[in-house]
Order: sequence, then structure tokens, then C-alpha cells
Amino acid sequence: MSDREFSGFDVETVKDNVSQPPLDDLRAAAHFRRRRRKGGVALAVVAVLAGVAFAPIDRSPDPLEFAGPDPTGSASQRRASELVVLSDKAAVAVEVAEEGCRISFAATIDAGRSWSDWQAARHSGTCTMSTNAESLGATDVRYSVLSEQSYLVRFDDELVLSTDAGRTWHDANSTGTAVTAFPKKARPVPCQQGCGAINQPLAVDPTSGRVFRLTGQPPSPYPPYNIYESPDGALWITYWPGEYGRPSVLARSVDRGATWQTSQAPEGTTSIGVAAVSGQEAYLLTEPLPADPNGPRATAPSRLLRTINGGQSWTDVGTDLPTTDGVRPFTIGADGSLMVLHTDATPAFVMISRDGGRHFTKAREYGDGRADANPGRAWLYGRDDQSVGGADHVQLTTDGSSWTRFPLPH
Amino acid sequence: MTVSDDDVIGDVYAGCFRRLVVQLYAVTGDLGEAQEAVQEAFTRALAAPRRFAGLDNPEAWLRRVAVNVARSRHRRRRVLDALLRRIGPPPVVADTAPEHLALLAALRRLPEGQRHALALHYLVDLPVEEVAQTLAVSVGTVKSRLSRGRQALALLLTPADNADAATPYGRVDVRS
Repeated sequence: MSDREFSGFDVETVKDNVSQPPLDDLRAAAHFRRRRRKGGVALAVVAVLAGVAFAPIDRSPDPLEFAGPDPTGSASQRRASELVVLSDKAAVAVEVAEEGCRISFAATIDAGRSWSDWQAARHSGTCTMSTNAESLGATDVRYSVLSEQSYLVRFDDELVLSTDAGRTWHDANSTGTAVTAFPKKARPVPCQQGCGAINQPLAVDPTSGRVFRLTGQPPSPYPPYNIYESPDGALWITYWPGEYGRPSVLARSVDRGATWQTSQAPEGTTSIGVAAVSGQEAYLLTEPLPADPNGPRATAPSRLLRTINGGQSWTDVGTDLPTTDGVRPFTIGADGSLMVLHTDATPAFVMISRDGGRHFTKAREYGDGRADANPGRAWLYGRDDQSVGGADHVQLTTDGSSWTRFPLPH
Repeated sequence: MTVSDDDVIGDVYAGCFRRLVVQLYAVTGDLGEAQEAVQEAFTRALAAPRRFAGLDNPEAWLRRVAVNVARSRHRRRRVLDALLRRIGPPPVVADTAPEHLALLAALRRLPEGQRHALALHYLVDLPVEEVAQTLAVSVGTVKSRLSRGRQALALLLTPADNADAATPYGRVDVRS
């Protein structure tokens, strides 16, 4: 026995109580974090590479149902990497495993009390796991939850879609209905931070899971970075700028995608998020561009711009929101408050403004450093059970003041 | 035969995870916080595996990252608890023996610097030099904190009216 020991601390007893999660759980968290960070920091640079590599969703007439291994399983045995909240009761959990090569989905329609079994995306090609920090040489895997039962996953150039909660998967190029404007009953799909597998505006019939795409000329040749539907049904999109240093193109439609009005973000900025009150009023959150894309981050403050004329002109509200090089989900709460989520710190936290974006205060910090948002909602990931990696619940808010606990598959 | 960066992390994870959690538990007095901090350290290592595999002493790096994570989380939580005027959840303990609980309770009453130095040196046996490296302070500072912390702890663990009697929590020895 060491002569430096306290008799009230037995190392072996403590060690016996330590739960060691599988390293793969932490690997999945690291992988998820790398992808999120890359999406935020290298937005403009990646846009050049990614912008030209997308294909229309309705190319081939023959649907193809993929066979292959079916790595499904009870949702209660596995942990989610991400949650997409669709309503007060409905949400889809996404599990990213095997270094991003296995993407699985589980859904709930009763606020997390029960979950469907995990269903993994299936595709015909191969998926190479990343073996280094930069993910070089690895398959580019992206996913998007379109509705409770419709999921889109891209493995490099192969796009697969499920409209039955992951039970069957089809070539997405052959699935989806082309329309001049989204039908009234269809729900436009919001997205943030690069939009995952989505490379054009989409809408989904929530009853059938049927996916709609637009036939008209898109406002930009590049993929969207954010898509936000305001409460009155207007669609606001920021597009990848296509070239480093160029400002983003913004587009707005008040007729469900039939026509678009475009404008441009200010020079010298990177558009992080757009959030809209209506077809006339919206906010654009931007970060200053660093002088060198590979150099240190810019020190100029964030800029929050507001339009009240449908994007024809934007004014700087003079926000006190500090700049960051991380990803910042951005949304407008049900009470009109602006919510910006910080995911660079552990725990993550929500900054809230109730004066049109001039002053932000910290509303809540919580959990393991991750947070997400979609129109009208924000959520922070947390974990009670330390024996397994990954979150086991989120705290969900629509106004930054009241919070609801939403359990994940656990 | 070459060893991949992933193999290096896997080996360190298998060999050091529990030991690091015990060390962080000594520092935080909360098993949940300790596990969170160590998992966060490994997650950061996995985010940059090549850099991690090139470290001379990966375990020392993980320990230092985990201690920093734990400190940072503790400070943020304390500020938020004060702002929201709330009392946080009780810490998760790994041992319910009375003398263990008494020791943790006494450690919590010490200044952070003394508490961390005592925990790493006396509870988990790290040499003074490694304690200094982990806490990013000089060896002299660690020795000073150990000396003052030991005296403070002895006072806290000794009943004021009768130093020889057993405490309500059981007897705890402090040896130097």
C-alpha cells in the first residue's frame, strides 16, 4: 500500500463501478462532430467541390429496391447520433455507425415514449470508412429526414430514398413527383447547416410519405445551405455561394416554390442561417469571412441582417452576438424570439433575443455539447446514463423559456 | 508491421479508460462527471487520431484534457446554478462507505487548487511532477497546495471537541 493513500478512497472499489462504453460509441460522436464542424467552417470552400456534384431526383423511370444486409434492431438497444424533431409528438432519431457507413432511423409519434425499430439505409454500392481525421478517401455519406416516414441518404453520388420509415429503399433518382409548385397538403422540408442529402427544395405529403420536387429553374445552380418555412408558408433559402469569398444567394417564394425572388448577402460574409417570421420579414445570420480560408478565424463580429420587404433590402440590426467558427443552428421561436444555438462548447447553450436580434442572452446551457433546431423549435442533447456513449434525451423548447424533456431511443 | 492511429487509440482506450475515470473521480467527486470528462477527452482524441498517435505520453494528454473539461463544466454549472437559484443534482458516488463519503465531503470544502492536487497525489498516487503537468502549474505550486491542503483536510476530518474520537462519518487517515 502506498504511504500517500487516504484510507477513505479505495481505487479498486471505484474502478469496479466504472462503466466503459464501446469505443465505437465515441468514434461515432467524433465522426459526427467532425462532419458538423467541417460543414460550418469550410462552407464556402466545400461548396465549390460539392456544388456541381448533385443530380436531379427524378431521373430514372424504374424503381429499384435494394437487397442486402438488413442491420435493423430494437431501438432500445442503441443510441441515436441525432434527433430531428418534426412536431410536438413526432421525431426521427438517426444513428450514425461504422464511421458513417451505416445510417439508421427510428421514429416516434408519441414524444419519445415508444420508438419504431431501427431501419438502416440500404444501397447498392460500397461504403469506405474514413481512416484519418480528415476523412480523406472515405465515402461521402449524407442524410436528411424529410418526414416521419421519408428519409434520404446519399453515399457519394448514389442517392437512396425510403418513404416507408426505412423498411424499403429505392434509387431516389426514380422516386419523387415533379410539380410546378408544392401541393398545399405537402410539407416543405426545412434544413440547416448544409442540408445533408438534400440538393434542392423538397416537400413531403405527411400522410403517404410521397416526395415532391420542383420542375422550374432553380434560383441558384448550387445546392441549398438552409431552407426555412415561415409560419405563413413562405419559403426562404440560402444557397451555397459556389466560390470562396462570394456572398450567398438568398431566395424567397410565397407561392410554394412556383416563383422565386432572389437577393444577395453582403460582401465579405458567410451566411450561417436564415429564419423567417413571414414572407416579408426574415433574419439572416452571417459570420465574417477570414482573409485566408485556411487561416485563423476573422475577429469581426457576427452580423444579423433583417428584411421587412421580402428580401429586397437588408439592414444590419447591430447584434451583440459574438462571432464563432462553429456551426450555429438558428431559428425563430413560437413567441417570435430569435434563438441561436452554440455547439462549440460543452455543454451547448441557447442564446436568445427578444428585441429583434440586438441583444442576445444565454437562455440555457445543457448536456453534451450538441444542439439542433428547425423552424420554431430548438433542442439540446443530454445524457443521464453514462454507461453508453451518445445522448439519451433532448431538452426541447419553442420559446427558450419552457422546456420539455424528449427521450431518445434508449 | 505498422500500427494504425486507430489501433493506438484502441489500445490506450482499453488500457487507460478506467484508470483515468478513477483519477477524474478523485478530482470531481462525481462518477458521472468523471466518465463524461474522460469520454470527452477520448472523443477529442478520435477527432484528430494522427495527432493523438504522435503524442509522447497520450495518457497524460488525456488526463489533462479531461481535467480541463471537468473544471470547465463545473464552473459553467456553478454559474448557471447561481443564476437560476437552483441546487444541482447530488454527485454520483462510487463507494457508499462512510469514510469515503466523509472524505469527499471534506475535499469539496477545500479550494479547487488544493482539492485537485490532493486528489491526484494522495488518492490516485500520481507523482508531484505529473500532478503539476496535469494542472499546468509548477512543481513548487503543487507542493505548496499539498502542504496547505493536507493541513486543511486534517482539520476538516477531525471533530473539534475530540480529535481522537471517531467522526460521525468514520475515521479517515491522512498520511504524508
